Amino acid sequence: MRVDLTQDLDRVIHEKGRMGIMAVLAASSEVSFTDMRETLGMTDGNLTTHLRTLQEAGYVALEKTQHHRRPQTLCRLTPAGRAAFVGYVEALERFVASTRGKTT
Amino acid sequence: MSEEVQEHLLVIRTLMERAALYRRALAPVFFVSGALGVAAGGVGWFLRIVDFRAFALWWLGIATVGTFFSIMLVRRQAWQARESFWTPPARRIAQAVLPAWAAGFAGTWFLSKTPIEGSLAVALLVVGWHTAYGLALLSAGFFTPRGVWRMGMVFFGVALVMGIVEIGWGRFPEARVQHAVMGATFGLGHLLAAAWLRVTEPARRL
Repeated sequence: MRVDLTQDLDRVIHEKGRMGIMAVLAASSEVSFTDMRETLGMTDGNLTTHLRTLQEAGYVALEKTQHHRRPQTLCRLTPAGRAAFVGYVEALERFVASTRGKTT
Repeated sequence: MSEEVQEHLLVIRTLMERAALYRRALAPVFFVSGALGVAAGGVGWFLRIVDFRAFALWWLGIATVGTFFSIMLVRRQAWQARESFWTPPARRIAQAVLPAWAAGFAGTWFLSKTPIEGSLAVALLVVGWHTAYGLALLSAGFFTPRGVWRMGMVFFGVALVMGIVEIGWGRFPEARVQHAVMGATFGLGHLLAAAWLRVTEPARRL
């Protein structure tokens, strides 16, 4: 069976930075902006841009909170974002499985 | 193209492992601390460790053993995941926790130098330790999942209630009962937190 990767993949997630954000959020209930920046080694501007794109797609929810009088932004996946990420990873795995089938 | 896709999958798995590391490490740490707390409370109760100095040394010893095992557990998990132990988030948490931790030890030392003794001294100690630990969790909660911050609030709340009832109203129990209090909060409290972390851990496979 031939898998058309270009059709199966979610274009919003299929970008190195955004894929990293989705992967980190998929493994945690919530992650602060600071921790996300350090985990992924991104700049503030880059991370903000990617988060905005994911937020506009409805994949990520951002919450501005305050602890000890210091502002903190918490990021988490929405149910739609989790479903989209599961679909994305499954599409990648399907593609790998189909290419393995051809070479063996 | 296939290599590129496989690399994408590898990056996803690595990032998910790294993000879940501290959460996964926290459950066994809370479990060990909780089990140790329950056991220490039980032994303290049955052995009637009621003298102020003996009480303080007993629980400080338990805290030291618990901290040692916790560090070993986190270190082992980091090593298994091929992650470095002393990461920036770990350093920030240590910096946040240390002042309250040091205040707990300093308070214990200060109390041992005062003429206060008996059940009142033990009650003051227990209230002070709950306050210090609660504050440490609240500070660490700024960088960690919100559950840690909530746990800090619970410890701080327990300290506040005990402070009002035991110190303010003078209704402090005999020192032996404080072992049950310590076993319930530091022991059962951590066991419940470990169970909660286990139940709410996001699915590992995606």
